[in-house]
Amino acid sequence: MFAKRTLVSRVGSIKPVRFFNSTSLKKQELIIRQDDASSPTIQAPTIERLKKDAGIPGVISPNVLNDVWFNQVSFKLEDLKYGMAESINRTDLESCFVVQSNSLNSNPFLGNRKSASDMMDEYTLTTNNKVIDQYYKVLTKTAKEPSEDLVFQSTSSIYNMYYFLSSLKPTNQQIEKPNSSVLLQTPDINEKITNVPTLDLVKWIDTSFGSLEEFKALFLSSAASIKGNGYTWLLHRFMKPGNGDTRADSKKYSSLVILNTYNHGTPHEFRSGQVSSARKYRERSASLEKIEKGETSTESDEASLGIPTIEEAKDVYEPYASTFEPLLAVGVNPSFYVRDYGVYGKEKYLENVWNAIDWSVVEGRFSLSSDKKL
Amino acid sequence: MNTAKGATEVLKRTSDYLKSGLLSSEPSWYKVLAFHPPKYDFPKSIRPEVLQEIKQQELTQLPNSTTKNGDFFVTRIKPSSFQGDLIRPQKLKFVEDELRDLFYKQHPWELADPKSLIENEHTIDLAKLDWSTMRQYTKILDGESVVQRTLYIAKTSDKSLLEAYEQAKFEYYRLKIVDEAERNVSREESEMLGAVYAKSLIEHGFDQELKVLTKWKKDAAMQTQIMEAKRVASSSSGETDEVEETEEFVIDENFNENSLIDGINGRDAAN
Repeated sequence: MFAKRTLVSRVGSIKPVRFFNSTSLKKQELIIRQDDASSPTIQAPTIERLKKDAGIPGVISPNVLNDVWFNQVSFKLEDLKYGMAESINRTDLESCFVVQSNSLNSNPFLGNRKSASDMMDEYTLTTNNKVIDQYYKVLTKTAKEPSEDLVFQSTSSIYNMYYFLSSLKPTNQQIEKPNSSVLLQTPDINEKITNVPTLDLVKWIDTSFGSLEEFKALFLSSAASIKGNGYTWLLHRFMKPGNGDTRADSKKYSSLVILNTYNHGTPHEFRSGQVSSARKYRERSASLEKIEKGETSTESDEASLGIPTIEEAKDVYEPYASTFEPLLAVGVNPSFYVRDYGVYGKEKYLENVWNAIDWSVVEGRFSLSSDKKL
Repeated sequence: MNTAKGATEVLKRTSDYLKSGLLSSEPSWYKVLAFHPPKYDFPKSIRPEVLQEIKQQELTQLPNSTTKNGDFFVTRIKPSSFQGDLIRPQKLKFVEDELRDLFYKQHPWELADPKSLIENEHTIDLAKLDWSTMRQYTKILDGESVVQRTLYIAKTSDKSLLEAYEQAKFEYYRLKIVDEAERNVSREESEMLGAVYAKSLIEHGFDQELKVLTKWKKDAAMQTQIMEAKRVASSSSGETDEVEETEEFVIDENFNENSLIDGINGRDAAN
């Protein structure tokens, strides 16, 4: 389960244990089995391909990778633990990190099959990576709690970065600092797309975005347009499976989408609706003011007649609840590229990132692409 | 010779006089005028190519221009019919205009992008910009960029004008996509950080329309109620008053139209 270099530490220990040799790894596993319910293991997701002081050749230099992944994540992990220790929902949040052993989970009558009561439970997104599933659970619990902001921010930052850095493979491209002439550069229209996705993904991209060219242009220009910190995501959006839905149902309404998140925003749907609720708050306070002044409001008349305003129509645009399955993220925080590519190097950096995307990893996360169960 | 008409040719005429010996010495203004000749030819003159064109038309315009033997009639078109044509200003033809026409015919919505026609008139000289790149620091990206870039490509490479246009067009598409994505993303990003934007013209128009529609819907509901009340009343009394009812309909329609016009005027006034 653990790679050689993991960032595993236990709640309550003074120093995080960073590196294991094979014997300590076995010990650690033993300890986890003994008391998994009482003291959960909070750890950062591991990316086996990333090695300290190696960087990602052709994309990120060793120093930058050490800072943004190895050092930053260990700090964020400490933040996360601190935030959870302070939280009033401590046990609830820690329960996300409890590893359930299979022996406890399996039903003596049904084996590993799902019982009817399990099926009635609310659907949760699952991935190949158990640690990421734990982080996802923490995100669902903290996304709408203002008091849990520290936990949410640190969880989300590790979660987002994992989806970015784990999708990259080493390449033999040049890391270089372009000069200001790139600002006026005219795109080469005859350029062929390199690092083409796997065939299965290309089909999905074609149906969702029209063509691979359109997808690349939209994806990279969305990423390049982020002014501050943020990620551009490729997500698989599908109907939230409910009772009696078959796999075919969710396939019918599913598509790939591109989404931007800013700062430590999460691409998942449980965080959505904040702008529209803020808008509603503003409108409500405006109408309250009017009533205080003694003006008769005409807005209530309009509302009763049932003609929605543009904002209302936008907010209720989604006819069904959809779930977003992350496939790929591209981070454009200045800390990722400015030291390697300079201030004019964002496009060059994104081009290098595109060529370094490991599409087999991306496809592995796509629940509909293979015969995996939804 | 009408000297008033030939005022701009006074230099030529004086030279002729000097050469022929009609004038013995140069007038004092002669050299000054030679160094600073008039910039414009104000009196309209007949250009030889126009005359030639008219002469060619002469044969085709006349109904029976040949006799049975195949000889020409000795005849001319009346001067009154071509007098207007003789002093017609010359048609100026530029390849840029044709490219502009083609581009905006293919992309009519590019005309919807707002553009200042007066403010940059003297500050921007398109010829001075370096069109080896499509983007320019002092020139917004629009159809004119495609035209200038096309000319640059056609001049510097061995591509035909149409091929150059195609290349410039696709470069423009790519940059336009980048610009549009940037606009949307920065709007979204700023809104997330608390920016509140003023309503766009389309949204403003929608609001104005909504006001009228709301009023219409309210009136329509009331009219329906009145009509139903009347129908109930008439059926209970056993009489129908068709004429009066239709008259009321007409008034009603006018009323709605007026309110619609008011709404549109209000929108214009607000703009």
